[in-house]
Amino acid sequence: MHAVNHLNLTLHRGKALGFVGETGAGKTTTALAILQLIQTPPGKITGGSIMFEGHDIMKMTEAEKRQIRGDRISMIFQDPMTSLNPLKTVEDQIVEMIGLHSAMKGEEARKRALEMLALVGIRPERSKDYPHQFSGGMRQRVGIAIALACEPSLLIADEPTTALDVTIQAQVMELIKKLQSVVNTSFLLITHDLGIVAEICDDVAIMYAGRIVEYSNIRQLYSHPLHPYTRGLFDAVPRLDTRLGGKLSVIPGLPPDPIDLPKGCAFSPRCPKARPLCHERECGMREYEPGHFVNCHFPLELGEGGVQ
Amino acid sequence: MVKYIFRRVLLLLLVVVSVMVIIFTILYFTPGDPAKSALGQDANPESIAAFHAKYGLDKPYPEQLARYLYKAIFKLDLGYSYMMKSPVSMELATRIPVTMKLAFWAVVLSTLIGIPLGVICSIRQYSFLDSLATLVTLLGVSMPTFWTGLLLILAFSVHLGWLPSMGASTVSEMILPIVTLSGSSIAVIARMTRSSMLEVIRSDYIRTARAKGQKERVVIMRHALPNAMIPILTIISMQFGALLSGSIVTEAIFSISGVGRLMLEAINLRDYPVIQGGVLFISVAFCLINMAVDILYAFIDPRIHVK
Repeated sequence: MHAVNHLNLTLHRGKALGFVGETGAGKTTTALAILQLIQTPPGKITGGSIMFEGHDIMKMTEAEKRQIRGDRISMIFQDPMTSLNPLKTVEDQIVEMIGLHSAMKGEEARKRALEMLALVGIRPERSKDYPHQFSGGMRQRVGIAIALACEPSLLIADEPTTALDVTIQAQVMELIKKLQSVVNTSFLLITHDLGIVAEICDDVAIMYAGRIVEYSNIRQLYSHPLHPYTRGLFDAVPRLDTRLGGKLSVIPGLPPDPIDLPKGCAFSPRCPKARPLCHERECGMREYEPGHFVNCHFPLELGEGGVQ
Repeated sequence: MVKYIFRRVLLLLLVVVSVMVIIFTILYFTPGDPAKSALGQDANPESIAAFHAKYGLDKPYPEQLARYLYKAIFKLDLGYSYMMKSPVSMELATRIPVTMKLAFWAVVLSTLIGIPLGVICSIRQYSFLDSLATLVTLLGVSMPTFWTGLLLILAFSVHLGWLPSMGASTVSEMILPIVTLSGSSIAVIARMTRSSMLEVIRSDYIRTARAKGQKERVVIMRHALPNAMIPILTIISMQFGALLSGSIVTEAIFSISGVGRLMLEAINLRDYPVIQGGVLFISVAFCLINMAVDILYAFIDPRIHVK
């Protein structure tokens, strides 16, 4: 079973890329592949390359990968309730990260950990507490402190706010955005929230069934999406001006089972614009207008898919 | 903490008293007359009656039970052995160190082998080594102690002549009984370690540790193993209890004069006070170990609050 296929993406230094798709589209798998943390067995990367600052991570030795993980590329995980080691104090978990990638030891590393905690808004007297003594939002802050402790050049956030309360979500996103500019890292944000992407990211990639279907900068993609799937996603976002009690617009059907992908374009069975060619073969990524890539034979006309 | 321990000790006393009542009752209603075992099958009725009178066996059940409990609890007097004509507590005192020594080393050995074996199997899941270990541990669990013991004697004492087959006073004498006792415990501990580790290794915080760039060895030893430890500790403490009662078989095979063999002889001869004393020892030891492990949990896992 191939969870992710033919995925081709570029992320420029200091930029933020939003990675949007439904549950099961392969977003997390892609992120874990970048860090080479796919659980093997059963998972395996069968081909391709992951270029990071001019080096292919796929070809690195285990020791080189360890150097990169945490130090150059770090990750904020989806579920703060389970992502921290329950038996270690939060301070120790940050100190571990610092000890691995810097010359700081003992008291110095401890001080740096307290700085990081202060940066994410956790009081120093709570540093000796264990994860279970914190709320979900606080734990995610600890996760952010760990991820940014070594000032990575790429930060991956895998749905960092999905498991949190709506009221906390905005705070946490705000914090990540602020710290991203402070530390000046590139940022890969995995989410299914198009609103958050619009606020934070420079570029956006839409993923469907393990493939990128559309990829562009925010302005182009939000003003005129080309792929019918992207259009469907926008339509599914509830608006304040819809009539109360009215039904939300949904994309008919379900995402395909990755074991049994449809022939041709993976979206064709659900696509309102599908023509016989779509069921025959996939289009492949093409540049429809400068910097706006789409994987569709019959993209929406410019202007047709416009969003206010 | 002190309050918790105090409450656990009270609970322990309750368990021990219940064990005493149960074992006394079972023995009381078990057919067979200790007087006949002690005096011979054709002893005359007068001497049997005298024996009964001497040990209070002619009294009704509640009175006997009350007397036994009263003496054991308030005077620490476990009675008098019918056969050996000596206090049960004295008999136990000389035998307990032997049994404890064997059980202790068996637990140490099975922990030292079982945990690393389980860890290796979990990180090399479905490898050849894992399958082999699964097969061997399955054998270890299924093999009765007396059978392992006899096979070991046959191999190492009879055929190879490397190790003595009797006693437990010297190191070389202790090897075979300890290995026999450990056999199934190693298997049980290794299997528990494997399954507990497999569960922990898949958890998110292990992925977090790897994402930090931590070495795999450290991820396993410092992050995964401590988190997998609670079920492993539980199974080790239960193995300790199993080893104490397993000593009945092992000590018989290797002719070791420990509590197990004492109990076995006492059962054959219906030496009630000795049987009661032996069972009491095993249950007290088992309860104490369980309690120690429960307290240990709180030190391993900060989420367990000792109230």
